[in-house]
Amino acid sequence: MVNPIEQIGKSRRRIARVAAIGAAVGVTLPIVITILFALGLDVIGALTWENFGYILTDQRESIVNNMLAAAFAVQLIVLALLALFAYRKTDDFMTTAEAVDDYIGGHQEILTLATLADPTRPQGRERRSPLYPMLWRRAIAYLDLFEPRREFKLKLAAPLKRSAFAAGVVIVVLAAATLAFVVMPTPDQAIAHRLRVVARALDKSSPTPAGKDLAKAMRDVARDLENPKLPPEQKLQELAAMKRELERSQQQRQSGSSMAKNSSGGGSGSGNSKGTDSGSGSGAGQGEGSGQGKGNRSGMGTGGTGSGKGSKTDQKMIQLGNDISKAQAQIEAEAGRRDQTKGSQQANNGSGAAPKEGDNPNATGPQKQPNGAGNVAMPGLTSEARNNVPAPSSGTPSGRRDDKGSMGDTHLGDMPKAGNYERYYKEGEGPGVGIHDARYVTFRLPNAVVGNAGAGATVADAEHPVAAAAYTNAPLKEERLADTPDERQLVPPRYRDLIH
Amino acid sequence: MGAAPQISPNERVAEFRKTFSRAEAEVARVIVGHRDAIRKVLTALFCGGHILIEGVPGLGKTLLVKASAEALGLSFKRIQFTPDLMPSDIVGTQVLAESDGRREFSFKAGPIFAHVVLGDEINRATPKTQSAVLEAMEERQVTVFGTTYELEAPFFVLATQNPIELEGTYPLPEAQMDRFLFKVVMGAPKPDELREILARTTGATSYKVQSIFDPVRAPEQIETEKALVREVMVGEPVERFIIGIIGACTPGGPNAIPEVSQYLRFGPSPRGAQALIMCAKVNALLAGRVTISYEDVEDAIIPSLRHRLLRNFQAEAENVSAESILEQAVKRLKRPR
Repeated sequence: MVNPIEQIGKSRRRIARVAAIGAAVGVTLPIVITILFALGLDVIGALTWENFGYILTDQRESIVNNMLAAAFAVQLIVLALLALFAYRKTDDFMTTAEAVDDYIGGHQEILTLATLADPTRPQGRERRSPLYPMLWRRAIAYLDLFEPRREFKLKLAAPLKRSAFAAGVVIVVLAAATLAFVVMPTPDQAIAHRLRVVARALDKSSPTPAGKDLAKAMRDVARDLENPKLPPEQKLQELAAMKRELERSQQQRQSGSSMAKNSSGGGSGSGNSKGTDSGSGSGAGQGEGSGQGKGNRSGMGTGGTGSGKGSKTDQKMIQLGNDISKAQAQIEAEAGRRDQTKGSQQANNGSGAAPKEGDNPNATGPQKQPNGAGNVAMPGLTSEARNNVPAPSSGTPSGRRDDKGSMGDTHLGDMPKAGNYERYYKEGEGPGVGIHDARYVTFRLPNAVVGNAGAGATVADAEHPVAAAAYTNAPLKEERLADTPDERQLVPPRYRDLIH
Repeated sequence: MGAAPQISPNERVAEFRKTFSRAEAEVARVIVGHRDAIRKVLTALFCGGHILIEGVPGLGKTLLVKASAEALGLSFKRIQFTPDLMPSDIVGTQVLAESDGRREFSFKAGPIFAHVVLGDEINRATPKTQSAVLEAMEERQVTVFGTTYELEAPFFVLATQNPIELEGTYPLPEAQMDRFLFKVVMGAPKPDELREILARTTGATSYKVQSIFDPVRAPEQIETEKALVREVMVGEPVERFIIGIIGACTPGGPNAIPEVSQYLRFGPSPRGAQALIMCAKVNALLAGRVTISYEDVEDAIIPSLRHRLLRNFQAEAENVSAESILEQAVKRLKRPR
């Protein structure tokens, strides 16, 4: 025969446990989502970079990671608190009695029994009437076949539904937060990101110290590139060094794979290709893959070396070399723009004030214009237009006949002048050049054949043209003035005679 | 004389249910329909309360009361209240009587001295007369010329009042209405019931109510059943529910529902809560239980409280009944968890 009070006590513990588990389950999915998000942050960053061109910089990635860790901790605390509150809320004798009563349809008989028999409330005994034994027997009849574990089952549907909703909210919040942290990379950041990607790939595929060193060097360069305090020249130098390092590494790999090819003769083995990644080229015939395909890059036919992971890394490194070249040019251009801006500010005495009336910082001659445009910004010329502007005569540096301003025509001030007309590197400037960098060469055919006709002989050309000014065949500077005109106007008649 | 056999609680409850069912069946022999009114009359009787029956003439109010008294084997008196009815006409008076050559006052008991007293159209008597009855209802004793006379238990007053022809009537004051345990409203019979009424009352066969108790032992047995009703237990949550209902119907109270604040001048007194519990206890016993449930309480709310709510002018102007306010209170009030 069951004891109703014991049954209520058992039910109490069971209900409290079920409530605590249910409350905990309600927070579980958000926690799982947060963990998955943290684990997949690299993948998310890579996908964002590959598909949309946005990156999560290391600094921001660490912020996101900290944020996820904090969210995880908060969720754990919330889980614990909810479970605790749910347990304490349901861990009550009277509440349990009411729940049991509802469950068995007892019309508050179990509840009343609990109020009269609660061990913690002795005053209940005083309220018992002579009918109490009948109540006790009825309670026994109700609870005889009552099994709390069976009757109060753990129902996860509702908590999971709540949990799914909360997980949805967490996904949205995390996605929004991550979107807020990804940025459109600057050239420095982009190349730094690429360097890190290749470094990671190298780490995974190359077990040799050389590969590790290269990966480390890549990371160092990436870190320096993202350092705003470093001057662009240093970044360029590091990039150039990295490019040379990459080329050397590629050459080593090529030679290593050639040796491997020559020594193995087949290269269709099932070994790993990590030796080829490092460029060490042991020549032991280690190779992975099917023996055809991507190994062609070594130019040795259909050798089996360097396929698989090694190929991917190589492709990345080749791509990286190209990217470095682009980045160099972009950084250089960026630095040039910065220099130009700085120069312009210096022309304004560095005060940063608006130009005075009639002052044109680009003009070299006298330029006081009583009726000048003042501080109205004048439209610039495109490079094409600039080419059509006649060069100022030596007598009038400003290229103007008189110095009387615009004669009331406020549309025109001084003729704009190209900010950078020296498009060639001077001697000693720019990167090192070779014959491959030549834009053109000059040569001259001899006036007449000296010596025996038809026999041919080397003729010393003593009359070849010689440059009056020192120059090199360095590539053109790529910087241009961003001086697209805001409007086009007809040249006023009084200036038309200037145009020949 | 040996000791009375000790009977178990189960048997006591079973006996109560049997008694009640038999009384209901006996009354139903002469009263067609009005099952709820019959049950409430018998419930009030077993609770030891009085009942106010309201209905138009000819619905069988008097017959219901008379049949109930006969079914239980109790003495029955009827008082027709009129404006010229005096208190002494009800409670009795001292009369000068001569016996053995000596003249002395002796008490002549009025019709109030009965187990079941029907006060027909109680609102037609003057307040002075009404108060005499109402004092007897509350104190269960009457005082005549300084002498107090106990009324024999069970003492049960059923008063009727007619909701029409209100000219020249004296509506019962709220304080006196509060002394009735229930107010039962009898409506018009349904067509089937009316057909049955016609068949029973106009045919050759006459229906008579038979007492379920031995008339000598009836009062004692009814007192035993009344004691059983009081032994039914009430859980604390159910008590809180009842208190919540009273609070919800008390205008100006912190838990009053908006309708109560809008339409009521006064709410139920503690007697209302007592009536709720007593009625719920009888309901529980009739269901075979010894503890009351929320359903038992809800079933008792309207008959126990409808005559204890004092509506304001706005409620009367908008024809908002006390019953509708109580229904709103029950709807809005959640059972404690």
